[in-house]
Amino acid sequence: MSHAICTYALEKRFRRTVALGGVDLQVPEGSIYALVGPNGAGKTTAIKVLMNILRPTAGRSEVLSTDSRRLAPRDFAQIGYVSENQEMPEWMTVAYFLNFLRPFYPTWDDALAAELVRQLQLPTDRKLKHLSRGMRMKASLASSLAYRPKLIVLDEPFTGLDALVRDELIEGLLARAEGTTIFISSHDLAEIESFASHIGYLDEGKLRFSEELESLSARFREVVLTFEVPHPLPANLPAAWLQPETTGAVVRFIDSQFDAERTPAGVRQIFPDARDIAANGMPLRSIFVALAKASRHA
Amino acid sequence: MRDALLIFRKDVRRLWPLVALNGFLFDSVAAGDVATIFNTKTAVPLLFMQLPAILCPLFLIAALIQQEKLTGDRAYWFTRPFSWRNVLAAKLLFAVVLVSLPLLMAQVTALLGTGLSPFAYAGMLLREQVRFFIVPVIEIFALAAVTRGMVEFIWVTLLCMVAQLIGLLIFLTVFNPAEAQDWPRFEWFRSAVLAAFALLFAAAILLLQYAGRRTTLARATLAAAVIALAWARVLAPWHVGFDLARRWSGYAVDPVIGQVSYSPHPNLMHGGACWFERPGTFLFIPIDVKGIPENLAVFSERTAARIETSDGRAWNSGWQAVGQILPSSPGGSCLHKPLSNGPGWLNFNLPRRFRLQPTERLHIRASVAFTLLGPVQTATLPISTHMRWISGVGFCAALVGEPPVVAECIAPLEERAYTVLRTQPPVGPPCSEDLLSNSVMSSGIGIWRFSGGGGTCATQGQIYLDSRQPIAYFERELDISGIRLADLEYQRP
Repeated sequence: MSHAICTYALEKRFRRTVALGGVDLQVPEGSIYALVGPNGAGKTTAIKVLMNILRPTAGRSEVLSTDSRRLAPRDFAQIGYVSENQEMPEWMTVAYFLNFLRPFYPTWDDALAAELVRQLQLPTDRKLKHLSRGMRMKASLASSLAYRPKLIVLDEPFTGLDALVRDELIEGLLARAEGTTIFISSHDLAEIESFASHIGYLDEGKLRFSEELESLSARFREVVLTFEVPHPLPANLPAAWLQPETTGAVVRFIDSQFDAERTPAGVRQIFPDARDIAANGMPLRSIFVALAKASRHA
Repeated sequence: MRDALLIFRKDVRRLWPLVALNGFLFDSVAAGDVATIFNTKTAVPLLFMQLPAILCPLFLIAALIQQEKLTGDRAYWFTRPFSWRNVLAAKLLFAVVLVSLPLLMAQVTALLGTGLSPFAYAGMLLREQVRFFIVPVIEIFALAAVTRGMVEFIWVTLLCMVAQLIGLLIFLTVFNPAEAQDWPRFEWFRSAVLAAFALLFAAAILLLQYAGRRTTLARATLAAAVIALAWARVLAPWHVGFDLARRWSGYAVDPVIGQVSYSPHPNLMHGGACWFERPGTFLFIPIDVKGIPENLAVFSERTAARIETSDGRAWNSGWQAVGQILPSSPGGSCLHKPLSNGPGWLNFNLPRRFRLQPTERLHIRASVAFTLLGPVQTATLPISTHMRWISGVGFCAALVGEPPVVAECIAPLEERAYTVLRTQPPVGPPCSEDLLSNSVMSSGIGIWRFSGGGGTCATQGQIYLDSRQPIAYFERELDISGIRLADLEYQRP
């Protein structure tokens, strides 16, 4: 499988602060890859290194098979970048902004641009500085989709947006995403869950895991054990069992390596007197919280 | 190039109000230049346009660069298919077409308005364009490239100016101040060296920022540039400028011209009439200058001396601006002016630390840098408020005032000839002679660059301007052994 983005032991330090500590990441072509993690995990730094906005301290990265340090204008003509904190030429109207950018992209599609403007309900005669935050993100998205990029990179695109605008953005994005790789950083897991195909979890500058969302959802289960009488927690539980707790006659934990056959057998071995064992699927948000807590306690 | 033009067009659309204001201010200065000559009532108010006309292009350039910011990590163009070469080319094109060229147009308009042909000044207009493009345009390019916004740009600019001033003061303290004093005729060399340094550093900063956005390194380079520019004067000694002028003049000066010899003469007028307020020992050596062809003259620019005492102490003056040959004229005139054959005084200012005993034997070796001047051209200057064009000198006017008559000349772009303002009473010798100074009156925008004037001794009599053009540069040596301080004229505070 070829990859749109690869990083090799990527490191970025700001003086003594380690923002990225040796990240190895692969984003398959055509995937919708969500890079999640708590605030300050290094997501934005990773994206800025990938976009050659920041220089890595060590390691390297490739974007569309080009070393990110050598990304040239012709490479950026195939990359769409939308960021919550990007400074835009605010004096421009939406129409002028799109018209100004058009000649720089050989694959710019006027019809697609017009459609995006219509679909995202962009006021073309209004200056960017007079747009709401959501509208600015939409304008940025429209300007980054109109040339059918091979890769779209979105850095926290949903932060601070209301639900309606989020939906419109996602619709606008997904409607044009066929054959395009989307790399998105977010801590809005509820949104990510609805469309991401792959997920990577970055915490304290380290990539804790990176896999398909489907397999991630499959391997995380909240396991609930019911006993006849209150049951204490044994001392040595498997490391994959996160946040074990007991409430009266009920023991709960999150199995991060759930297997439909092996997990019940393993539970029976440690808790032979459990009356009932239930393994419940988890939303992405709960998985994320469990991982965040586990990494803090590690 | 197409992409550069697209960015250029975008910048024009964004910045046209500032471009228009800049053009208006340049034109106002040009109108002020013309009004100065014709002494119209609008001249004074238009003079106040000079300061905004200096500041406006600086803000325009800063705003231009910061349309595509180079600092930080948020600028929209970092992730767009913009080549840094195209962005830089667009900015340079803008600066040339909409900042520098309007200045050229304003200066051409001013020349035409005063009745002068721009073609006669084509070389100087071009030189002005180059100068303006380096200082301040490219300098402002570099400053704007390392700052985050207009407020930071203003603060950094002020900080750089203060740092430069401090650096200059340290330089003056550490090095021989004589070297740093005014260079009336050779300032071009020092300016050129400083401009070359400024260009070099600015190019380095722009390359660092545009090619790699190495902001920390670029800011360090800016700090180094501020220090280096204050100290670059070390690399521009006066004598190198003089020597270059000598080589480039292409005129082989006959060795007999301007020979200088020690010549104690009992009837030589008292050199002490020319004592100046200076610390240390002021020394006058009686000399004789000879070999100057009848229709020519020489002007002693500077002198360098080495004085050795019999007990092995030595002092080197360097090329002192105060070391000049003053003519011995009736009344003990101290005028530093073109010399003909005859007696004069070679003077030096010895520092306090090099104290000499009146009777100790000295060995004095001196080099005198001369400018050979062509035949004199004399023009009369009637008393009138209207300025009159005098070739080689500029526009001049003579007004009744205090002293009795005040003459003032201003010259466009080029330096004027060596000119003496002479008042000739109906009978007898001139009652006053005054070398017109070449004070720089430049704002860098208008066409009037050099002004100079002088007072005359009486309202009676004719006022003349005797001007001579420089034609060559040369040096002559003076070597005096076994002389005593008591044999010379000197004064100690």
